[in-house]
Amino acid sequence: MTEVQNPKSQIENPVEWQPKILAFLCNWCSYAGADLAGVSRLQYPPNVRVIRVPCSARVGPLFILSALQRGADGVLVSGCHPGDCHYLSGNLVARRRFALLKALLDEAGFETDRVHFSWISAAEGGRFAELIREVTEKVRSLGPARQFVKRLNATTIDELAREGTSE
Amino acid sequence: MRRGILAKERLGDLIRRWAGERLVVAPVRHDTVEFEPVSSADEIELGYRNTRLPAKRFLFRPSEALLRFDLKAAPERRVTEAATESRPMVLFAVRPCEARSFTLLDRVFLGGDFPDPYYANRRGATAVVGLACAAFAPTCFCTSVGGGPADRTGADLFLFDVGEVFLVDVVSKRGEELLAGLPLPEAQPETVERADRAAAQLAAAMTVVPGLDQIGPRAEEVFGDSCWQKIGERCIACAACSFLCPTCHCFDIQDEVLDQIGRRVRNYDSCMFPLFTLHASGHNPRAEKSQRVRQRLMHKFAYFPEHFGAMACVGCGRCIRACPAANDIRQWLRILAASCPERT
Amino acid sequence: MNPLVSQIRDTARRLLAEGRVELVLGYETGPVPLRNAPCFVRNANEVDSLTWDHFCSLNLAVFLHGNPRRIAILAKGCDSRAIVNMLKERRLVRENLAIVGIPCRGMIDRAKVERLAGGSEIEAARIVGEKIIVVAGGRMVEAPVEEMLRNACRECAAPTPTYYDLLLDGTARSPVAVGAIDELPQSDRTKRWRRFEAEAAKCIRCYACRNVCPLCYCRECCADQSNPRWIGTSPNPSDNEMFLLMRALHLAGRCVDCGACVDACPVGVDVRCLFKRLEREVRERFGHISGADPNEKPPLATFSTTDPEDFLTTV
Repeated sequence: MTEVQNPKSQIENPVEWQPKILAFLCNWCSYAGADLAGVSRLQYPPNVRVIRVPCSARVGPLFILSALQRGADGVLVSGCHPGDCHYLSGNLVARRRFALLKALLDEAGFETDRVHFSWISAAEGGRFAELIREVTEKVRSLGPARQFVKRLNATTIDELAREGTSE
Repeated sequence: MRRGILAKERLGDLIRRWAGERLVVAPVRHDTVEFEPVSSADEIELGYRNTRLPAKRFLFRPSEALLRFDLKAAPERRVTEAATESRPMVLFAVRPCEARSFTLLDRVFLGGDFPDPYYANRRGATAVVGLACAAFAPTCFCTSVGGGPADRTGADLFLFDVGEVFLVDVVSKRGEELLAGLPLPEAQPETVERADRAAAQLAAAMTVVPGLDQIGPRAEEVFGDSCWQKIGERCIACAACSFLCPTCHCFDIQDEVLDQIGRRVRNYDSCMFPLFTLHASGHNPRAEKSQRVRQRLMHKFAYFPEHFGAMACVGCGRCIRACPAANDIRQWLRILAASCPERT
Repeated sequence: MNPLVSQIRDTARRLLAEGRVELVLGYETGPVPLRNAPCFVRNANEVDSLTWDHFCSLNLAVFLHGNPRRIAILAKGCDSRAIVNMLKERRLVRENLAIVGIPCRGMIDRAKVERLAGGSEIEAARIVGEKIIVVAGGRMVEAPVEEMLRNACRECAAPTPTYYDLLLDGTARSPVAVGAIDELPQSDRTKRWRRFEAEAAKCIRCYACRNVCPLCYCRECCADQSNPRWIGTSPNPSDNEMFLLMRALHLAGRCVDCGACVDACPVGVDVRCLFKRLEREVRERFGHISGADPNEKPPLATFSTTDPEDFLTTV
């Protein structure tokens, strides 16, 4: 995500647009599972950018919302299966947090199919590839991100924008 | 000062003419009455006490870009000054307290060695048409701070609603330019007298908070008084007052960056936030709520008068209305002006 | 005079005389109509300033932060829930508090009254029986009190405090059954988004909502954090939306729906729908009711091995 995408041009040229999905993968399970998918030469769409975190609990809502704000079309957070967390209970605490974030986004009318949470273990290379396929398709069908995307020249005082500044 | 008559039916033409040449900003009624750009007189609400948000935001913007930078651009164009519009503007039907507030902001932004170009450009292109008050709200106290329901300070044209017509005072050269050739029959003496008398009666009926001009000269004594604990404990330090105040002008400069592009912006800030005086070391000279309340009042009634020769308050009462804890600045000022007796 | 008023004053006098507290925190008639001010009573001859009526909407718990004194606080249902949550989070010393519970009949929403009066500023207001009579813009208008109450009050499930040191004698309004007025997610996502976008667009980032909330007390708010700058400081639609969402999330399971934020907002932003949705989720998913029991662990500081996983994407 090196520049703020101009949604208008993306919508006008849909063939060119590719979703950009940020994936937070926990080091011990999901990241290793992704690695396994790679080593096993499993094919999956290239739209995901991975950020490795020590535990899914490291991912707070600010990370996810910030990514959406900066133009990520989708966000995925994946951790160990409950009970298998390297830090014992990280993913259990995170599970509550993620559930509430998803509900809040739903209440705000956000396209919740852009934000995904899952548990992928280190042995589940195949499942990882399948998950990426599914998430990418879901995000692709929603089109480029529109909600939350930050534009530097927007202020909420609409009438001032009508003054015709060159901003 | 020329005082003429404008028939109410003519207002529509005047607004339309202005709107053709400039941005006309006037009070518009939604749930509350607020200043907005208008293109015709039909949109304008004149029967209001005061708007919720002050009109200062058209001169001193709540958020405005100072610079733009783009690291992907050629070196000589990496940093560009944000356009400082000088689109002509009319602030129409502004209450006397608001018009006065502009002259107070002028002292901050236009005076001294470094006039603020963002404010100056806009201010230089703006004409102010004031509207005399026909009634005051329970929260008004303009007469206590040197203003009044018919105070023309800061206005270029000043209107009185006298029933069938407007009495129009052409206060300044800019006001004359604004009328530019519009025929303005001279007002009859009875009309003038009626308007002036009504204004004087209204001013006399307002409750006064006495002795506010004494706070400045006694600043040191007032600062050290023990009443601040009692005053400050009732404040929640929510800052709503400072965001609605027509004369508050503290701002924060931030860089808003999105990867390779960004803007340096100036946003409203408030001395009521603890963050306002937080040092990088972690020390905060105004960590206590009561210290911040003291700062706000002292700034408005002691330091600003000392530096700029006037109290930084126009008595509009927005702070009283906005305060979630029902604090009334007039009560505080009464305590201060009376040398802070202990509340028994 | 409302019989509760004399109870409040007698209780204040007694607590001060017994030396049990140094300060009694209640309400006094405010300088402008429809909104009472907090009343700080330190000795017996200040007690008669204390009052009680439908204009006591401020959540007094916000004044408890960092106050080392022994304080008696008049607490409506919502205020006592806030105190419970503050106790849960070790913000208060229990022994220093005397919670005087008061059965609440609901508080007037000033914005509703102003709309009733056609947007004119209110000059005078009085409750007569079950009606509120208001003078504004030179006219008199009236309405049933019930219709002018704040939404938070009309939807309140516990107007009588359940956690207190002593409870004054009176009748509260009928509680609404927990979950009875849960806003069902509207099937139209676009409508929900437009509503949220419109509310966020009004925000001027004055943070009055945050500062008036008894449960928002972080020394460094995420919105103020500059390294990294998570949420920009300008009133930009996107940053405003971030701020409102983050505040809702940080209050998940902690908000007691006292409505102080909506009252304090100078521009009338109303995001209670966000807070209420999270409160419902916390209740249904984790079986936790905000403000009920000070011995319960905060819901996001703990977990259950059987927490629902319906939000996951599974393959």
